[in-house]
Amino acid sequence: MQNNTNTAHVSAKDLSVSFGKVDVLKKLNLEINKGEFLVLLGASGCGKSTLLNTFAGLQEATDGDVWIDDRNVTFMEPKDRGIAMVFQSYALYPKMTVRGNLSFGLKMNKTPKDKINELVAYAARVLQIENLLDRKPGELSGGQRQRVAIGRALVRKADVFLFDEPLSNLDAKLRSELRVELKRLHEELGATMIYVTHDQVEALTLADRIAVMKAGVIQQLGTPDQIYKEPATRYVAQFVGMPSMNFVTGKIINTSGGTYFENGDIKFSIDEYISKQPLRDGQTVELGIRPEHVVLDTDGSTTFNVDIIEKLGSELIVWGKVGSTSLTLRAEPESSVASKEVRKISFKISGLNFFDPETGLRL
Amino acid sequence: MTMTQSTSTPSLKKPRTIISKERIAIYLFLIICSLFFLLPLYIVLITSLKTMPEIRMGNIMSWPETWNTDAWVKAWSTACTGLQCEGVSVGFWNSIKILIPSLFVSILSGAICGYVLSYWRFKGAELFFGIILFGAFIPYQALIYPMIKIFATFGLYGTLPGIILVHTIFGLPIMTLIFRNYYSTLPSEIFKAARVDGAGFFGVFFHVLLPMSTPILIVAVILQVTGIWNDFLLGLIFGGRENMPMTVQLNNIVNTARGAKEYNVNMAATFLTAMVPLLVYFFSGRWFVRGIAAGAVKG
Repeated sequence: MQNNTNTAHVSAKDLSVSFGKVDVLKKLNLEINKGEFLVLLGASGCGKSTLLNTFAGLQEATDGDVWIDDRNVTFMEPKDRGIAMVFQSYALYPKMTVRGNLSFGLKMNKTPKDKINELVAYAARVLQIENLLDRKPGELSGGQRQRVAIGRALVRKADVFLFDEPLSNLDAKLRSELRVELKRLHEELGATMIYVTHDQVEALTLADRIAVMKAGVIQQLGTPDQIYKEPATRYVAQFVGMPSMNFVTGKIINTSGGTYFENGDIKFSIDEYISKQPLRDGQTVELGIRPEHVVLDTDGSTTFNVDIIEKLGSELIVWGKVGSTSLTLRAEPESSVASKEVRKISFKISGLNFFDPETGLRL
Repeated sequence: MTMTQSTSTPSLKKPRTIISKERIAIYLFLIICSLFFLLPLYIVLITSLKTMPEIRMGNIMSWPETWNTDAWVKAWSTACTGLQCEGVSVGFWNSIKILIPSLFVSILSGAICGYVLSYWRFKGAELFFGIILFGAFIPYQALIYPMIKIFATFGLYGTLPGIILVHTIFGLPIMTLIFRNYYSTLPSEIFKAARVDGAGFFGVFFHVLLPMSTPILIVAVILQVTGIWNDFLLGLIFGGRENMPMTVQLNNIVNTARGAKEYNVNMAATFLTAMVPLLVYFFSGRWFVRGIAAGAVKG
């Protein structure tokens, strides 16, 4: 039924966007492969939506180019770019029925009537909104509205789908439902999808690759696994992961007996850590370690004062201190840990990350 | 938990209103105000229904002895303005001729201006908007002479297109303002979605935005109908002899020098002239308030 060749390669070349004196995107380069699901992840104001709007042609580039396949589309109208877009606020046309919403774009580019009917029927079937076709957007629930918005993108048979935080306005349950559906849709269509979100769960579950952005610059581009396990910068490390990674500033000690990390409260061997650059003796570093890599261990050498325990059902989040250093750790729900207890912990070397405290780059 | 019993079935009866002294004072004030504004209307109406001898008795407030509609007929069809004796009916049709096209052109151009200023922001849009708004504060008497010269140059002076253009120009600042403010309350993502769907400048406007503009269109229609209908000066100056609007015609009837003053005819003519804006307010006042408030409340 659907045409699996609808997919395109998208790239930004030295792309800059400024609003007056504010540079929102700074010489950004990004290659998105055919059929890839790429997520632009970042806090609000990082430029991710601006980048998406620039891909769409809704935002003019100040400098640089946007390419879709072998066409330089930098100065093309949105409708000529072979894109479809889904918005956070659904952006349905309130005075048109669902059918009118779905067919509006097709009417605008003068698609023959029977072809329109065929495409609308197809989109309605895929998204299971066939029984809603004659209603107005005002009569639909949030989830239904967003389905219609996705349907409007679907009928365009676009090569590239752009999503601007499409699930942010939905409640948690609907969000996870539609997330799965988007994933399925991507697999069925094989189209290139670019998805903007500030929600790391959406990013990690949907993406083939994630581009983490901050202040108009891509901090790291990688698979969800790479982003989570080997964050390229301290910003990426603290942005991704729930609860957040622990950060401890300390020093490297190189002795004949081995290499250690030390901060006055904590000291442990890091002989097995493979760093990108050799760590010098006396170098100040920022240790980053995720809560799951700090483990309760009766043989551990570090004393941990438990403060508060959060029970999340499938796991426990334990907040506490080593000396004056705050740490969070993740524990099995069965583990018998109580607040105000004193326990021993150890650190999993495989989960260590070291960052340069000045540049924030991974060492 | 015992509370739920009583709170889950709230009584639909209105809470008992307490008639306090403040409330009485407020009502009294409001009643006096409305009487103050209704009094002239009352006098116009009853005087128009009296005969001249009865009017001469001088009891201006008194109820007419007999209901007499002769003055109305005369005012509409045979009252004299100078040499012509055709009543205000000529003026009525002239006003309609001026009103309908002016209404369309001024609202449409204001709406498009507002649309451009909200969605197609160009360099200097703020300045442009500032200049348009400034236009709203210039007393138009100051512009009349230069405009006459310009219109005369283009052969528009004293023509129907001329007076329509004048109303469009003077209506533009306020129309632009209300449409711009209305459109800036609509989510911009709808505009973006329409662009992605391939709608062009007018496609977005006519297919997407205009259908969403009903509340503000009503406000615009009310403002322009009353404004254009009640206009006297512009119609007198720019309309030309052929297109004298009803207000000018009314003035000519009232001020005609021949014979005794027929107050009942004058009153009837006045009432007939005021009828259009009155009816517009009467039937759409509710929408007017709603439309004005539309900008203040999130849609």
